[in-house]
Amino acid sequence: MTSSLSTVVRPSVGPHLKVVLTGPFGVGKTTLVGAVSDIAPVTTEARMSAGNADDTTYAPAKTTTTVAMDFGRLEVQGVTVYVYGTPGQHRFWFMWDAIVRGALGAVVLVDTRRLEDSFRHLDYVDNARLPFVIAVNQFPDAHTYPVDAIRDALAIDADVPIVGIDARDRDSVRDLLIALVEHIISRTHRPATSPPA
Amino acid sequence: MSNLSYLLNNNLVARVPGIAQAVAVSVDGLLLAWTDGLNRDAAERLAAIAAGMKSLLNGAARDLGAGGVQGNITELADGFLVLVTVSTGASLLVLATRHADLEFVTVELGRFVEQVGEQLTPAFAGDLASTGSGRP
Repeated sequence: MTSSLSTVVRPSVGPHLKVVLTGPFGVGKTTLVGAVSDIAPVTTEARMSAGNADDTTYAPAKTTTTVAMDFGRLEVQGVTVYVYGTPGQHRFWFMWDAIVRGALGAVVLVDTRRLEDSFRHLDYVDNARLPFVIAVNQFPDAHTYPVDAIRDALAIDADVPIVGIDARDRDSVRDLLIALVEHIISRTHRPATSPPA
Repeated sequence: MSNLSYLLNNNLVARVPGIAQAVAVSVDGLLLAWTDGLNRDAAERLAAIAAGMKSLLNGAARDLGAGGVQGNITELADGFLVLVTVSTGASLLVLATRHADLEFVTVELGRFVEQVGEQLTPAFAGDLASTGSGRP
């Protein structure tokens, strides 16, 4: 009877969590979800028109942009992780609150050639009080900076993990998500501090 | 344990002419239940898409000052995609056949949502905590 029973139970029998992936336009969010997902991901890419508002200086070959979200799923240390990627372009930001709903943690993806483009993403996850890790997507032509320098430049607390990754590489992204899961668990089990007013 | 998938199969697909497939989606866009004709991977994607659709349509509704999204019907070449939102924020995404009576289908979906109400609002946030606090 187990085989027929398995079709009537919810997938939530195992531990699972939802995390959000955010970061500026062209930083590699869709690539990251595609690299790490155990299932074919949901992508909502559309071809960019010539008059598109966002700057493609650092992604000159970019011809598509995410118009709604990315979605993927993977198993990390016995936990099913659902990854929702936000759209990068400003005009889709109205979707963020819906995408972030129910998430227990976040990854903010940054490009060292334009750290300032990630400030508002950091502000967003901070305001949402989501535990987060920073992932530095190591573009081949970008200079590699020490973690401390990136931490200083982003004005990030010492307890926020900063992980260098290659968004195209499955193992690299898995390690990132393991770091996030561990960070979420450590935050979840820390004595509660009073929330900011 | 929820028997929501059983209810989707039995009370919708088996009993309502025109309903071919369905997924139930939590307020945060995760899959709660799905019908037998779908595999889990496809059902998970459909759940994410349902949440994205709702979010996009709410964006339009806000700019048009026309209230929240209650449902959506998309015409496909071979059927209709019917999204029904529940007051709790959960939703159902349903594939209706090309020749379905859409009015009948949407009425039945509304009735179904009233029946299953509470099962569409599970708490998700507690699951991880239970992992971290004891289970190996």
